[in-house]
Formats: sequence, C-alpha cells, structure tokens
Amino acid sequence: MDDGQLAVFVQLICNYFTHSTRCSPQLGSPSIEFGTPRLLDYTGFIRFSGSSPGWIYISFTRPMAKTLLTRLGEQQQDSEMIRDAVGEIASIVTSNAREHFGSSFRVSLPIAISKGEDLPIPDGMPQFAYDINWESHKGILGIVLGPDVPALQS
Amino acid sequence: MAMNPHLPYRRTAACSHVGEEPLLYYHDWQVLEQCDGIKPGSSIGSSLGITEAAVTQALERLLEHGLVRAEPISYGEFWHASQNYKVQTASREQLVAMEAMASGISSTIASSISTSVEQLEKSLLAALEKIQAPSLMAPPPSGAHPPQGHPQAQSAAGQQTVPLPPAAASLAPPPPKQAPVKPSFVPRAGVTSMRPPSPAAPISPGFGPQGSARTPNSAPMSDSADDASVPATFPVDGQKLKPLVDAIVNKAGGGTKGQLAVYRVFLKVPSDLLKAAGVGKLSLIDQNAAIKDPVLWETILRATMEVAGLEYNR
Repeated sequence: MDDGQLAVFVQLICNYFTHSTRCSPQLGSPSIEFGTPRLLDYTGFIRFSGSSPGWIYISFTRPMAKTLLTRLGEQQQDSEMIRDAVGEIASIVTSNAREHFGSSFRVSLPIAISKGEDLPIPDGMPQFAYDINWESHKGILGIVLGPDVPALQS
Repeated sequence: MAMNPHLPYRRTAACSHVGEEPLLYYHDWQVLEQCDGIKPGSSIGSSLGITEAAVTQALERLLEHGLVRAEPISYGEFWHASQNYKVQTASREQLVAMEAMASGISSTIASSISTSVEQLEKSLLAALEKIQAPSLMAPPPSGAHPPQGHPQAQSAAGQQTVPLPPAAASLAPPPPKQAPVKPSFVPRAGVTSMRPPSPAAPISPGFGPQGSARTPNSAPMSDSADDASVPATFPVDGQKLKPLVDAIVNKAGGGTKGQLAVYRVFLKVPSDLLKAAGVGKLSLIDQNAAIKDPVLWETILRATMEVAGLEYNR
C-alpha cells in the first residue's frame, strides 16, 4: 500500500460516516504504535494484498458503535448486532475500495472481532494509527503493513 | 579511573552534548575550558586563581561525567599540538599585533600603547571573539600553516582542538556563590557541535611532523576509535525523535506519504529492541519523544538510511 492508496481508504471510511450519519469524523495526528494493537470494543479488519500487503482496521468503542447503529436506524443493539454492524461497515468500505482500485488491488473479505478475541494480524507488527473523533466518541483507524521487508539486525 | 592531577586532560566528544545537564560548579566549567590535553591538571589552578585541590576535585567531577580524559599522545600529535600551544601562549608583542589586526589599529601605534598584562589579555580575548575564532586555540602562525589556498588548508580548518561554546571561553568573573550552576553557554549560530571532525584518512603515527599523515594545523589529538562507538557520544537524555521524523517526512515529500515513510522505517526496527527500550507509541508530532537506547537509535538511523535513503546528521 502506498500513500495514495492509504489516502483513498481513509477517505472511504470518512465518506461512510459522512453519508450514513451526516456527521463527518475528524482524524487526529497519526502515531506509530508498537506491540499488541490498541483496539477498542469492536474492530473490523480488511486485508489487502499486492506489492505491499497488510491490513486496515477500524475500531469502535461500544458507545460509539451504538450511536452509529442509532443513526443508521437500527433498534437492536446487542453485542452480536454491534459486531455484525462493524463487519458490515468494513465490508462496505472494502467494496468501495475494490470499485476504486479495480482488479490491481486485491481486498479480502472483512473480519469483525470483539475485544479479547484473537487478532487476524501477526503479533508484534507496528501499527500506523489515527484517532477518529466522531460525535464526541473516539475510534481508531489503523493500518498494519506486512513484513515484506525483513527487520534489521540489532 | 583514578585521577592524577599531574597528567594533562583533554575534553572528550561528550562535551558536544552538554546542555542542561550535567550540573557542575562554576570552576568545574572553568577547568574544563583549560583541559586542552597539554597542560597538566596541576598547572591549571594557577591560571584560574584556584587551588590545586579545587582543580583536582573539579577534574574528578569532569571525569565522572566523561567530559575529560587523560590520554597519551604520539610525537606527531605532540608536535602539532605544541605549534598551536605556542600561539596560544604568544609573546606580548604578538598579542598586541594580533589585537591591532583585529581592531584595525596599525601595529606601530598599537605597540606604543601601554597596558597591563591583564587588560591586554582581556582585550585580546575580546578581539579573538570578534574575529570569531571557532576554537579556544588561536590558529598557528603562518609558518606552521600550509600556504593559503593549499588544499589542506581548508580541509584542516576547524580541526584545531575540541572547541567549547564561545561564551564558555569568556573570562567572566566568578559568581558570588558556589552553588551548582547550569551551563549558560549556547553554541553560536552555525556551530552545531563541539566535536572535532574526524580526520579524512587514517592517521599513521609516524615520528615527527613529516611522518604524520595529519595536516599541519590539525592539531587536535583526534578522538580515537571509541568516539565512533555510540555510547561515548550518546546524550544522557537521549536523542530527540522529532527532528529525525521531520527529516524523513520531508525527504519523502511530506504529508501522508512522509508519515507512511516514517512508519516503513520503524517496520525495519526489531520489535524486541523497541520493547526493551520501552517505546510503545510514537506520535509523529511529539516534540519530546526521545530514544535513550544508543543501540536502538543506531538501528533507527540504519533503517532510515535503508528505507528512506536519508543519512541523518546527528
């Protein structure tokens, strides 16, 4: 993934919020985080492949996800429903990405997890993460690039 | 290492990183100024008006902080250093002439001016500051230089000795109290390091000046191999990350592209090193983030070079 592709993904996610809820999210300054990813209550992962494979994920707190469901007109807001909704959001973003990039950019089916479940990404990979501010809630938009280059010897 | 006041001590490359730390007494910094690798510690006190015991204690503190060290030198190094030392201890007539040159007064008129030795020294130092001599030592006389325009003349410039920041060279009166003080000097604009540049080529320790590969006015006893090792020059409070991050971002073209470049650099850094150094998160706008592990810092610099093609100038 290059910076252009990352920018497209970020824009697709922002567009989703804007069009679905009429409230645009604000992204904070990016940070690089090491160790186990800092995930919130529910997270949707999108895997992409190509010259620089990796994952994009969007993580929600439970209140943020419930507010989002309310905005989407969904009355049922139990854990299962929230998790499905997070997976659905990731799926929409994935579809839009496929449409944008065409066949040159392969994107896998998204995976949604709740806090505490096994992560679909390798352990110990640094994450490039933005804080998302949306309707007084904080979420996380992250990217993890695969180990296409070996680490240096210390 | 035991301190022997009868040995000459010289400033180490660690002097390049003094800033807010360490805190030392006023006369400790005075003694540090005098540690040129030539004068024995025991003779420093007389020129500063402090006792030998005080110098000894100061040297012990400076040694403890790694700011000075006693180091034997070769004859070639001695010869070059002595040339500079002769200039530093030039005769009164030479001092008058140098002052006159700096202030624009003809040497004839200047020689007729009767001033005390103390006044003369003060005015000479002021004059030397005017002409912005980059080190504590004045340049050697013309006879000891390669001719002007000689290729070596420029390459050797600035290699006289380990220079201290300009303000540290002033002979300010001692403060009224003997409490630890923070060093007040700030390097002059353009002076980014007090560390002597490394010689361009390995130095063969030949006997005498002709046998030395060192250029005639490369007087410093250049820091030996230990200067190349990270721990000897690594600042106590670590290396700030923000300048490095900014350099990578700029090199990559700024914006998201630059930020991703920083991320790709850190992808190359072993996670165990980061974990061991307690680095959990790196905000790309954090002004205070610092790497305190020299090995980790070196690894980051190598990754920067490899991934971003940036040779970061520390």
